[in-house]
Amino acid sequence: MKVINIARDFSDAPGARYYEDGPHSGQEFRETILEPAFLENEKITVILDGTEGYATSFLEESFGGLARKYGPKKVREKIEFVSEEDPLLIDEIISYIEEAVAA
Amino acid sequence: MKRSLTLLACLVGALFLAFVTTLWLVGLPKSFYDFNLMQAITPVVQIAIAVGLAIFVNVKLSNRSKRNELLVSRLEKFEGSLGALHGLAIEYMENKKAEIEPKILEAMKNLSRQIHVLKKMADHSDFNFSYHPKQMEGDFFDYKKALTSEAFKQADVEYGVEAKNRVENINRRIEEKIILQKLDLYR
Repeated sequence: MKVINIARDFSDAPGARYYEDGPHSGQEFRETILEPAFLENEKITVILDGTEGYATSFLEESFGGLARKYGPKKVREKIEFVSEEDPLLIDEIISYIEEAVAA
Repeated sequence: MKRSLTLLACLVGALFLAFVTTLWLVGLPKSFYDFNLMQAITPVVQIAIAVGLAIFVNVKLSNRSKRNELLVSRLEKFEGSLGALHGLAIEYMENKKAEIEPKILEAMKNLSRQIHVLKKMADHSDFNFSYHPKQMEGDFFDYKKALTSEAFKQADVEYGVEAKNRVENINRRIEEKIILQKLDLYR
């Protein structure tokens, strides 16, 4: 099982949606870290703590973007989230994964 | 509660015995205090029930009042944090300074923790919320989406009038619901 700690493996100041929006975007995180791990591993644990916080654009592009490509069901089955600092963050991410169906 | 009722029963019994003993000691004729047991017990039982009921209702009301005070204090804390976040949001939407971004995200984390506490309180309380913390969570996600979906952390993109209005409207909606919820608690 792969563990991705966003603060340690990517950035403690995640950015906005696309590369052109600035550094540490959701698209960059998805393409360089999340998607390769998703394809190579049966299960992934994503640790969300340790950052300054997440913009909706970052979360939607990272996890919603992955769900648009591989389907919400597979994403939900494969990825487990850990968030001690922000108790509603996991529900928020799950809503973007679920909403990605209609996109 | 049970202890108070036992004490009360003992007190009533002791008073009654003292009354009979006193009458006997002062030498009043037996007919003066000779009585029908049921006739004597009935008012004592009625008084005991009335006092017990009063104690029970008082305890219940006091617990309800304490619960409501606790909920109001948490809602007021939430209101204060929402106000602080919205102040930062207005400042940021008018003049996008990068140093405000982490402050906004921290304020959002803070609000998230408070909604989480309110959700737990709702799970452990029989209070019928008019603005349930679950709805509060949905409104908070709407607010976050309106503020941090597109222009946030994008130096070249400004917030349009529509985006600003959306943030303002959601904030007002949450504030109104909180006030109504507090009124329900004060009722």
